[in-house]
Amino acid sequence: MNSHIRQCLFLALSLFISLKTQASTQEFYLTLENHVFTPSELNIPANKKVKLIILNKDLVAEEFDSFDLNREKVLFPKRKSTIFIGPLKSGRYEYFGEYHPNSAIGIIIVGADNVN
Amino acid sequence: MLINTVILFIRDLLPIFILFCFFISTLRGGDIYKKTWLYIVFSSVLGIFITFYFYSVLSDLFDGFGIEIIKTIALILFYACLLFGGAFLVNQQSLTLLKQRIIIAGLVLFIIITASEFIVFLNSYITNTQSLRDIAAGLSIGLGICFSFSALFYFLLSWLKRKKNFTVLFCFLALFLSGQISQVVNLLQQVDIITNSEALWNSSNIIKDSSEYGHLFKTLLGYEASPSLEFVMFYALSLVIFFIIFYTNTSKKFKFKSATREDK
Repeated sequence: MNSHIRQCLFLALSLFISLKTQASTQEFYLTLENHVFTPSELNIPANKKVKLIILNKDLVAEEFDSFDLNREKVLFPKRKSTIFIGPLKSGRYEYFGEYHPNSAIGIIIVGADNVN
Repeated sequence: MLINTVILFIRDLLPIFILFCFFISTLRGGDIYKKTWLYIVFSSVLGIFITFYFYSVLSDLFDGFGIEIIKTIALILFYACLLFGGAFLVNQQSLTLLKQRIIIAGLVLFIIITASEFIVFLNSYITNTQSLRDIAAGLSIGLGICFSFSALFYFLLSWLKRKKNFTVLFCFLALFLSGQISQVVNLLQQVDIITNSEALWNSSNIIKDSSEYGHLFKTLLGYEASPSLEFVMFYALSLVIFFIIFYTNTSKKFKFKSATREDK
């Protein structure tokens, strides 16, 4: 009985998250390779929530970190990770790889005209 | 890389040291036996390594938002345990076995959540760093900072306890735990479960989030240079709940003491 309840809760939570994330949010992509994020400058639209998908091609984990965006996410090797950012005002928002802050750096440029 | 290691020590391991300071300084002698300490260490180490081993699997759950969801649930459980146990600890009441177990469960849960992220970093650091000397230097400096800061903090808390300044002691605990639980808002905004609103203010010109002080205040008080409305509301709500619990508990203790004196 308890396991049924647990399964139902798990399914409900998964469904809730899936439905919530399926909304028409624009997607943007970043790739991490040799501890370098590409593109190093990513343009996203202002005042809109966007989905950022990051592919870590390296063999070790990295942590996407941004004080400007208030975001932190461990990027596991050879896996895709997703985070939501915004709605943001126009401006430049820095991010970096917490484990390799000298090489893994980038900027998200938020602008009214940035509709990719 | 060395500075980075120090920052990660402050971010990931210092909260554990601080929580232990609260725990040890407020604990009454004889409330927890040596065997219990061994249990805490053993279950924490086991939990950290199991979490580290399955971290990427956990991350894939819930459409790739597994870590955020699991960490949120774990932080809420940790908060509930310490909310229940914190007032008893600070008020110097004797702990029943149930209270002890609840506090210990919260402590172990917190250690596992916080330290497993550090192990991911350490694994990445060790894989990339060729020199053993760099690793040793990074770990020694990081641990040195954590130990020296927590020693000073422990003396401050013990002094407050000796002076019977329990309200201030509880304020420290409430601010620390509210800071920790408020991270839930950022986690849920990151996975789009909570709406992300604009920052209420920006105090980066005073203390930057990225500075050493920023990291330290984040650990101690949950400092954010540009917090959202949801974060501030959650933080305030957590403080209010804490103080209600503390004052309810204190008045109960006071009434009980008065009644005991009258009976005598």
